[in-house]
Amino acid sequence: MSLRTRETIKLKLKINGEDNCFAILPGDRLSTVLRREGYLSVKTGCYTGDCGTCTVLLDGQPIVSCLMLAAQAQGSSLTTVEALAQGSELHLLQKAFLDEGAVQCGFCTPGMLLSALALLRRVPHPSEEQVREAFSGNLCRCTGYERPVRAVLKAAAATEESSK
Amino acid sequence: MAVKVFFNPASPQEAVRLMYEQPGRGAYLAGGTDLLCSPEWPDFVVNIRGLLATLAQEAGELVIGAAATISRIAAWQALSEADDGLMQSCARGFASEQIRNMATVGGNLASAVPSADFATPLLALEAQCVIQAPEGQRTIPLEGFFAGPHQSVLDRELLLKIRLPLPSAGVRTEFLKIGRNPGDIATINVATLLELECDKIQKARIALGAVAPTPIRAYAAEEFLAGKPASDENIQRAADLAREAVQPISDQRASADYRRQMSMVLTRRALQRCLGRNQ
Ligand SMILES: Cc1cc2nc3c(=O)[nH]c(=O)nc-3n(C[C@H](O)[C@H](O)[C@H](O)COP(=O)(O)OP(=O)(O)OC[C@H]3O[C@@H](n4cnc5c(N)ncnc54)[C@H](O)[C@@H]3O)c2cc1C
Ligand code: FES
Ligand code: FES
Repeated sequence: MSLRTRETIKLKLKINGEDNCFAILPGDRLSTVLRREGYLSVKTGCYTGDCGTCTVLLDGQPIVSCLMLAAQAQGSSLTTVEALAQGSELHLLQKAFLDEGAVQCGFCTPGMLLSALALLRRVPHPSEEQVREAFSGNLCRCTGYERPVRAVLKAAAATEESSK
Repeated sequence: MAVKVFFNPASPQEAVRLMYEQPGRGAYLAGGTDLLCSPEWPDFVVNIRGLLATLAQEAGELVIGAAATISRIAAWQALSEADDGLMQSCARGFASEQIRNMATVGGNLASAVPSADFATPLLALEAQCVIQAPEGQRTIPLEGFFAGPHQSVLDRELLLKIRLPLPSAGVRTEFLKIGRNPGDIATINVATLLELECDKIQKARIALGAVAPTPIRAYAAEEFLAGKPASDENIQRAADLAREAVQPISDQRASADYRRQMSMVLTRRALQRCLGRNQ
């Protein structure tokens, strides 16, 4: 007896608030499906959970999409960086990244923005240490982390201002 | 190497039945952080993500579903109150936020790597493993769960949950780990637990990882400490006994000699910290 060969699966999930339905294969990684469906902010570097450039939010929590089979995301709700800007209006975090020069090659940036977003939702005014901890799963080979960390602190401070 | 079939069982019993009845090489899939990193993917996976994730407080014990993530376990207040923050402290140095949100305790134990971080605190807490086999459930102590490097006693069976007997009130615990950087795979990890009465040690539990083919308990050191005053000499003697209990190898992370020496140092340091002495 042999296994039924690679039947396609209907994957229903919400991405950035919109309902989606994709045909996927049982062994497709979530990162592969997202890129195939046009969410090109999701990069892949290592496929071993180390670099974090494939980070997405799954039901609000940062995960690495390379180590999840897409079929496991059935019925869940995902956030990618595409959700951050409202039309041509950049998100506060994106603005802060630009202002601080926190983007060099940009390969790590989508993952960093999502890790930062999840942090700020949990801890609106984090310490520098908390920001560094939140970035511990996002490798950046260009910036040395200083500017991305500063950018997150700046975005957090800006939120404080605007809520005053 | 491609996964050909993806199963979403509705119950643990169904999960185990699939594992036994489906042709080809199958694997349970929880967080995927070990399985999907391996070069050889199975022919089929049985998804248990979300199936066994319950955390529950029952009479005299805490019960952790095998597919509970590291993040959820770390945030479980009933647990950190009962174990003096032992599991939480272990979780803090476990990988990164993204991995902690995916990785499960069951996957950590079932992968059975000698360095598995959750193994040592769970050994110190005398965890029991509840296992689902086709013919029913059985419960074994975690000490009997590991069979060798990358090998547990499970034969296509499913680890259902971990039962933790509640430690006595006032228990003191400590977890220490050496790695290249925080969040790295352990070069060595140690968990200790002390129950004290006045300045006397009633009970000691000492577990070490990455220093033997499986995570181990240092029984001789534990027995030596039972009933003894918590003096520096006794702690040193226990730490020396822990060094004798290990059988490390040399690998890319450290030499066997280093691991042997650090088994002593970390055991001493962890015990002293349990006693509130900063070392
Ligand atoms: C970047 C990175 C960093 C890491 N850092 C650490 C670290 O600091 N410390 C550490 O200890 N580990 C670390 N790991 C290893 C890994 O994250 C853990 O071992 C994790 O707990 C595995 O759980 P999982 O749910 O992802 O397992 P999976 O990959 O889903 O499964 C692992 C294995 O266990 C089996 N399995 C899973 N659940 C069960 C069950 N309930 N019953 C029977 N079998 C089961 C699977 O079939 C598979 O063979 C790291 C991994 C990565 C990728
Ligand atoms: S590609 Fe997912 S962590 Fe590197
Ligand atoms: S900006 Fe290049 S890797 Fe971070």
